[in-house]
Amino acid sequence: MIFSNIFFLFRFLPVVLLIYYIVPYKYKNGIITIASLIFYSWGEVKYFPIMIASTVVDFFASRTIERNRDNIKIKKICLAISMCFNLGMLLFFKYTDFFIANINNFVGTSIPLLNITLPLGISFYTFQTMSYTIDVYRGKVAAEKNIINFYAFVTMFPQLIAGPIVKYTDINKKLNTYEGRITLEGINEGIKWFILGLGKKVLIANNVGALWTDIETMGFAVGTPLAWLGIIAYTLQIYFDFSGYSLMAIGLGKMLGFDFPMNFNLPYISKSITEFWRRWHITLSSWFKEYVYIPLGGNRKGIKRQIINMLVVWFLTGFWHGADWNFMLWGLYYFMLLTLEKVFLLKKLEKHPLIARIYTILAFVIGWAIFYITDLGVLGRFISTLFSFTPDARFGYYFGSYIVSIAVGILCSTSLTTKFYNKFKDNNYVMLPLLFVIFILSVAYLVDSTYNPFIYFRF
Amino acid sequence: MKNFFNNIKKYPLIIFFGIFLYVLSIADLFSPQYEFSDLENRYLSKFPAFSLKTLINNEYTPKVEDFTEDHFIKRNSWISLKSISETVLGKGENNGIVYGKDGYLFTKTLNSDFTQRVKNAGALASFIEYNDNFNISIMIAPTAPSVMTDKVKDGSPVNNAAAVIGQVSELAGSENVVDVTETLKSHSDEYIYYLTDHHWTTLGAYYAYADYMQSIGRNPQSLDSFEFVEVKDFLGTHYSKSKNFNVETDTMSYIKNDSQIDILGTKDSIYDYSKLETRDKYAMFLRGNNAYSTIKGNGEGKILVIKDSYANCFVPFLTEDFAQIDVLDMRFYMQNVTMLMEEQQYDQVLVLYNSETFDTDIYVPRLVMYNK
Repeated sequence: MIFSNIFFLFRFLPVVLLIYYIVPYKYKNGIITIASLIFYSWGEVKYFPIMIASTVVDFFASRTIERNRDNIKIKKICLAISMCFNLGMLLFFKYTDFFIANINNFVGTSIPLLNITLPLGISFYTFQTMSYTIDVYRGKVAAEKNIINFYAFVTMFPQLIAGPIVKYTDINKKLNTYEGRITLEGINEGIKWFILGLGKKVLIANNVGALWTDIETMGFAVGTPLAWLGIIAYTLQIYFDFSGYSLMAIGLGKMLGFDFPMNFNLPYISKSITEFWRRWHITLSSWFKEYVYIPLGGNRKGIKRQIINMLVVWFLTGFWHGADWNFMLWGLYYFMLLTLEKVFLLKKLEKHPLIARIYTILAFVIGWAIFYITDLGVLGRFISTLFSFTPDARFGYYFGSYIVSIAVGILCSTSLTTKFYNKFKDNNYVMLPLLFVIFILSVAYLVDSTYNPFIYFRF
Repeated sequence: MKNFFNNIKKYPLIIFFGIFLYVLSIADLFSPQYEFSDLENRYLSKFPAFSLKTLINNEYTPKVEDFTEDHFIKRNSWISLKSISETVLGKGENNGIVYGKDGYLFTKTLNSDFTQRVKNAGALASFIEYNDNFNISIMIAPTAPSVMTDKVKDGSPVNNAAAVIGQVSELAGSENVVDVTETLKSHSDEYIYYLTDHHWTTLGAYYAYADYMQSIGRNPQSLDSFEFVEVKDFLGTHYSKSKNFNVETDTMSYIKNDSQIDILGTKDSIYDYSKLETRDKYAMFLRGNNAYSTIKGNGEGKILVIKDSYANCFVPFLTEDFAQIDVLDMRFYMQNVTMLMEEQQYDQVLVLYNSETFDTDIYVPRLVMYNK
């Protein structure tokens, strides 16, 4: 089930909220768990046991670590079991077919593909449970004693299938708080975020995304102006879709009484790629930083070692987004840009803010082309179209159809939105009509949904 | 409790959102359910029957979602709201329909893959070669955007009939092709295509008929000899998809014709007048699309028309010229066409498809499926 859906909005959500609010506190985590399991099974009932297994393994591994604080050997074995299990599943489900296809390609064998469908949200929840076990191992947090609470943490439906990647330490206090978890202020805030997120996804992302889908249908064989219009549309689509989804998740979390971490912070206003990655998918970047980059030594072992560490992190980041060469290329592309910035570029960019902005925008726009187009030959042709000057008779039509949506999208990617929000967030005469219009329009677009994709199926 | 009410007053958003969400959800549960959507001219989805198999294959829950969407309270009003919003955004299309000028709606076409077109043209070529003792003509009727070119906004993604006809001429021989594009273009200031439907009008079909008769060396009946009957407030297939709030309705017309059509042994008028009371008015012609039907005419000779629905309003013009008109729809006709032709000894065979169907239809190759 996805949030931007009539069934979720007018069946699932009202029922779950009603039950959640009226049951006594001691049952609330149980309700979250049951609701989340239904939410998950709704989209992928087959793989439901896999998620349960992942949770059980980490719960007991962490309990064992907790009980054997002084026994390094047992602690290490438990950590290893958790790592092997989580990474093993991730590798198996997400990457097996990729490896088989490439072995077939390079060695000339014909091992049949397994054609596994990726379990929904596996990349998100395995990262979550791993971080929990590592934190317990490091002694950062005590292991959860109550398996229902632990289930509620892992499966909590708002963040289950597309993030943000919530760490146990983000919500453990609230999970074990019974009085005062839910406040009217929190619910109020949550509704606001949820509706704004819904609008981002349904009204902006879906609207501009249709253009890119058309260009894909044309096999990316378009002229220069249409290629730019298309890649700009996709740049907006992926941001509004992903950040809208995160915002809905954060809003729903708040309605349930939890504070999830922010996942996006106006990434497109960045003045360098270094800054971009501090603002884009923040919970993923900080996960890699905390559990890969710093344990490898981070920047404490000299510049050469730091660059190697960055290479590892960006290779993994790319590969995390999908099992294909272009995702690796995308990760390495960012590794290259970040390294250049680290070595000398960042200092120069600071002196020329305008050039810095143009460079950054160009860099992430090209980045999205690499991210989207899996066929490297097509990708190469598409990128060269961007910088050649081939006309396209269809440009006028698409420009007319999409320019308003694109302009709205660009405007909403700037700090104007946060300025507006901060000024008016407590002004009911502005916020109520605005939220009402966004919600009503979103429902209208969902009722007559001709284009409402779920774009994270490869993550 | 009193405390709670005092507190919640400070949060009008919670009150409004709560009321809105629950009132709409509950009202939706009790709102009337319709089987058929007149607006969209389609059956709305039914609540799926539960089975463990469909659940495990992830086939059950999407159908429940579709059902909820299809039957959502005041569905048609939500659709209009979306349409208004799209117009404000300047969108040139909705749901696969491109908006032209002056109320024209066109099918959106993004072909980059012409394999089916080539396959179909190839099938026609071997059909002609295999049946070289027959007089076979091919008419690929251009759809509206290729004729009403000044109604198409620049760069719109629509079908290009010239390319389709060119492909057919190349493979099946241009001497076998009756190209009516120029004739239709010369009448483009007349009402020859519907605004809201993918078909040509009966008048448009007449001009194509006249061209066809001349191409086989016969004189067509004059336009005045036919009596046109008008049917107001026709909303066609394109509107059923686009559902634009500012639609302009069409006037459908048919020519008076008392001929009988024989569909699987049942004889009836060639028009199904009961369809005029429904949304799907065009289905009156030849009583819809049937696998094989035969019409007794007042003229001479036998003709076989192999066709898509463009021929449905075209065929009535032939009844004064031929003694027998047989009509085949390859989407439903599974028999050997050559055998039928030899058995019936047709004087003329006409293959009539519109340029959009011809690009995508997968049943054209059935014409030669029994060839050795």
